[in-house]
Amino acid sequence: MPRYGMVIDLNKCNQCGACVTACKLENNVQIVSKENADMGRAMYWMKMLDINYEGSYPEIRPTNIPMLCQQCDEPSCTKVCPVRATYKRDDGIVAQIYPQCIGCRYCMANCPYTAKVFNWLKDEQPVENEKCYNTDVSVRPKGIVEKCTFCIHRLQKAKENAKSEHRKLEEDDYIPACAEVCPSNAIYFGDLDDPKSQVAKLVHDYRKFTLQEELGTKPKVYYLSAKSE
Amino acid sequence: MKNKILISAFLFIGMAVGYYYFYNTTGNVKHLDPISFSHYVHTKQHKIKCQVCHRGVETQMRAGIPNIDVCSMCHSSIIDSTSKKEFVIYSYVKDNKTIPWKALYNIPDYVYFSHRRHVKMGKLECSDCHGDMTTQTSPELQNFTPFKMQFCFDCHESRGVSTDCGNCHH
Repeated sequence: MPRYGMVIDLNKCNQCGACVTACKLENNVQIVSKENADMGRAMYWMKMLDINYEGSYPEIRPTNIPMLCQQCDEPSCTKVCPVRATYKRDDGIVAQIYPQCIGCRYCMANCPYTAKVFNWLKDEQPVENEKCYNTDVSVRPKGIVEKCTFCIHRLQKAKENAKSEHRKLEEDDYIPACAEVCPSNAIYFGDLDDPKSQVAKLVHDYRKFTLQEELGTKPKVYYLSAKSE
Repeated sequence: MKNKILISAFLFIGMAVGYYYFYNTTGNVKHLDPISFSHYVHTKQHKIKCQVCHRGVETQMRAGIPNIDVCSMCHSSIIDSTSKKEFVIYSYVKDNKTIPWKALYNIPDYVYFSHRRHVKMGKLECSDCHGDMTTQTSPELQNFTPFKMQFCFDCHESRGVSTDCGNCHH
């Protein structure tokens, strides 16, 4: 059984935010109005996290890192869910089952990475946007929690395609939208347990670090940076 | 008290009339489709396979309900002048109008169900979920099996297929 993980090379990342846009479109993540966004109801499965600012206004230079669900090996969110709406799959992906979720938001409170988002509003998009919906991903109703699932629907499709072609699932078959779209190829994705995969090699890089290592959640999203942040 | 009896009598009569019209005595079941489509005529008499009309069944997520583009492959002119049904379908084809079929099998949008995965890879027969459609002379009124998650679970467990939630709900 594979153990999927991601490596983000911050030295290659030019903070363009293409991954954020791709994620939002791929997963039908709700676009909320400015008023609601100001109230902290903006929805992102992947966001650019501001970690540092250099200079002063107006020549300010923020340093952002792409931040998504860390797909922990010891997830803290699954432990508090009273209805098992969030759980860790055998392949390591922490999934969220939307019809099962009751919207208590315990998981959101317990996630140290604030990776989960709550649907405050009914998804009412302009008609033009509805035509762009990805039919492989459900549109979540109001009142439930959602999160990055490493584009689990893509895994299903990749498995289907591999099976129809009578071959095993290969590394390039399954790749999340953010990793696919990254123009500087800063996001690597693959099986951490497969010694031949690129991510398995990169996690031994000297630049490697994970977010909030001291909590013991064992994230499967690794960052590479020459600077120690 | 008298009012209550009257109301219940009216309700009863209403239900009886409704039942009569729904399952009327001639045996012709009332359905909501614009044409009383017979699977029996197409599959048994004319030996057309399911995949010919339900084109996506082996290749796509949805099997698809055929419309005039498929119907017109055979019904581009009147074949049987005595058939009223064929005249109706021919008029749709001639006017290039979409036939407003009523979909009976609707899967909720929070469930991902792929026909390709089940039919092509799982080697399931259409009749496993839809019943034997080759004997149906008019459109069905209700699903062959109630589409509950337990139905999916039973089949997955008996065949040793994964029952991981994330495989169908994403």
